[in-house]
Amino acid sequence: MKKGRLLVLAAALAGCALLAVSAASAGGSHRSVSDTLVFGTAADPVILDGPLVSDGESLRPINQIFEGLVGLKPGTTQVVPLLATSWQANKTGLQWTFKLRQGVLFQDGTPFNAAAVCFNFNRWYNFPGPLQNQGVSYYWNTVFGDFAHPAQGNPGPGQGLYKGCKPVGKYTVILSLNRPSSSFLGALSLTNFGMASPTALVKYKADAGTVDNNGVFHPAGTFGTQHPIGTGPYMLQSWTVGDKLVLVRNPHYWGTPAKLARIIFKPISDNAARLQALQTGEIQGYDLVDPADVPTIQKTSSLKLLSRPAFNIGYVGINQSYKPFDNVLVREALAYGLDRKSVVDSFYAGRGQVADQFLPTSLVGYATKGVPQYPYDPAKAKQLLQQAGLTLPVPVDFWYPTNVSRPYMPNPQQNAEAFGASLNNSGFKVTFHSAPWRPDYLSSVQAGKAEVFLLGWTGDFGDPADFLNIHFGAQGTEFGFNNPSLFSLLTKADEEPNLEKRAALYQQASVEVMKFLPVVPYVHSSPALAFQKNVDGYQPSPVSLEPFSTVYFGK
Amino acid sequence: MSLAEIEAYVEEELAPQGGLWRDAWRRLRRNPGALVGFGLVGLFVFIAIFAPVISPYDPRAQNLLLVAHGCCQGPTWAHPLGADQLGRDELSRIFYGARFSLVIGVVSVSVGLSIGLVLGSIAGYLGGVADTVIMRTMDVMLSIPGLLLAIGIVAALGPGLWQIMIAVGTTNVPIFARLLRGSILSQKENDFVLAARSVGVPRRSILVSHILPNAISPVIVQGTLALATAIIDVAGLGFLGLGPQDPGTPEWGTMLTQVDRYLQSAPFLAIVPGVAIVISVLGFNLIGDGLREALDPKLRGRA
Repeated sequence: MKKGRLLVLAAALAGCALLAVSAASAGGSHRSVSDTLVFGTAADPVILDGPLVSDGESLRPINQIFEGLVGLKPGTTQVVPLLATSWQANKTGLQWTFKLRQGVLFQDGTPFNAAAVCFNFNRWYNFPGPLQNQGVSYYWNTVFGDFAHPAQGNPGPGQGLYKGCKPVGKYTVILSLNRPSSSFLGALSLTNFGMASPTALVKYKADAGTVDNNGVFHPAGTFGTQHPIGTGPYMLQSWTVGDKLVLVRNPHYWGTPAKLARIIFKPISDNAARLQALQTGEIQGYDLVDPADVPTIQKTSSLKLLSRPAFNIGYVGINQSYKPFDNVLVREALAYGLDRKSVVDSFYAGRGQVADQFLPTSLVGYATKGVPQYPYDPAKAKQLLQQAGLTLPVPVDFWYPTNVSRPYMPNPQQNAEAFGASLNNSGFKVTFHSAPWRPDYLSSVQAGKAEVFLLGWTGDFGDPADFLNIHFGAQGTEFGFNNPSLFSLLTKADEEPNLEKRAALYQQASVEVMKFLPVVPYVHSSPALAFQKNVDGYQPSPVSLEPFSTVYFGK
Repeated sequence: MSLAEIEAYVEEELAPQGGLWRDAWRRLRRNPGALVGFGLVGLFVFIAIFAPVISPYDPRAQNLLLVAHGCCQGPTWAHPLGADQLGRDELSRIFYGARFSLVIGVVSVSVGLSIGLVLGSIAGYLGGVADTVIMRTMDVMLSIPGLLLAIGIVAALGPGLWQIMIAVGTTNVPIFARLLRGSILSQKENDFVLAARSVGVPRRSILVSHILPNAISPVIVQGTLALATAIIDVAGLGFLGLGPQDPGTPEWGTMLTQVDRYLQSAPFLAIVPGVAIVISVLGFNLIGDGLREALDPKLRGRA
């Protein structure tokens, strides 16, 4: 008996590969013209309440249900009117007046007006203690920072960006800030700051609940699970966790009504399974296409591939609290020792470009002149290490995450192995460490346990502050350096209201970052989405959040 | 019967019996299954020993140019089994992987065998309280599924090659201990043991030179089969990400787990190590089966 079981086990190991292949090729091109689109997602949303989430899977449906004062022009990071039709800042940049769109109703019939806007801002500003947790209200924390009743050492009134909200008449609102900020308007376009119906927020107890030790919110009310009510073109019909989330067209939408009557988000966590579901016609589109699958999709005539503009950065992080990485010569040696071009050319299926600085090319502040270049040069790396007075090889602890695929690093281990080999050629001696992405890896890196590590960032809105200030604007445990001149340069750049001067300051900062090398950027990648060929009207966005109201079935 | 056959028969029957082992070896040689098994295992051991000589490339040498146009290049003359997701030669990695599988299999079975042997003989020969304590402990260990126990041990010790060997070895201990104890119990009652005891042979000598040689044959069979299980368990632990921390290690299970992304684009990357595991396990299983038949006392004397 024992032997039989062994053989079956062994055969299964090889057989599973064959099965997967044959199942894939058996998939037909089942197609039906309908008014429902099924979209494959990587996971369920956490909760359908914008200010309480920071992950893309939650923001995707929230973006269909809720709208903010301002939005982004589809396919760009340009701020355009949404629920506010126009706005103006006063001379000091501390008071912003917004004119609101008239005749808009929330999905429950509540009228949208100045009082509703201030109700939302007051809700965020007055979050009870548990909801002030960084893990819960991440974006309010990073953008505005302050709370009316701060808990756990959070900044209080006057210590952050937000000061107050005042309705003037029925359709005008004045937002006051504690200091001028040029990234403020861009931040307002975040899906997190969408306007929710005040009636529903109260009725369904949006803020009631507890927060556990891992920073996860467990709601007591039903606002974020069953009754998320905004002004958007779609409204929630039903949500069965692990099965599907169904959105239906909002018949009373103020703008152009949605083209399809229903959108269904179906969570399929496995990448290969999502591709198979698309091939069999079970879903009509999915996000987070693995570069390894790109050729397969391109070869299938019934499928098509859409690309988002490259608006992210993959980098090799360095923690300067570990010697000898406090020495800039060693960091330069590391930069020369990373074969960035080969990694980008080989592992991103033609969808990546080698990054020579931290900012994506499309962003204000991208420097075109004076950026120091670090081409792969093992001899130069060794020479720099010797110049720093070190004996070769120099040991490096290199960290990478497992069980994860990000647009900027589809397969972290592969990147790590290739970088490891090129560093070993360049006078370093690499030891690998790996940890699961969540919760171990991110918390280890953020707590400063990793010497050299793989990480990246995808932009939220079209402002360089979202890249540079967030990473290098203050001393932190992750990178472990203190560079007051860089900190003050970045603060100055964010406060500068004049766009041209601001761009110049950020260009200067971008060059400074590449000279100081707190990280070695290596890739801007263009994330891909896959659809059935007959799906039209989907406009990929750099910030990875697209409206579904323009999507329809063509021929 | 022809004259020649009679002569052969007489020779065989009247020649001094070569004892248990020579007898078994003779019958093993006539078992085609076992011969195939020896062939496969021989090939496996040969590859493991001479991996540096016969491998066309360094198993860790990357060639990113090979994956520049998507993963991954299929078999070519330069790379008979293709190249993996980092452009490393798959054939050389399989060759070096045989080393890991062989060493891990042998070491972990030796760990299990030696500890199991000691515990089993003590329990079987001494009996009484020692027997009860040892065997109940073994029962507790057996009540936990083998792979699960191994995962637990690796989780406690941390991932790595040595940890895997210890874990897989530990899960083998109760199997060997139980087998040997049963075998010793049945041998203990034999007349030759009684005879030895009556002429005053010390207990330890009775156990080591009289009982053990007769009781060991089922353990040998189990040892061969355990080698096969160990190879699979180690590949399984590697597949679960508990293998060597250096991701470049050419270990078959680890190689399998790293290529699940490429099942559609490059299925050979999963098939090749899978087949290597199947072949080596098959070899040990065939030998084990042949040995069992050859050593079975009921079949003794029959060719």
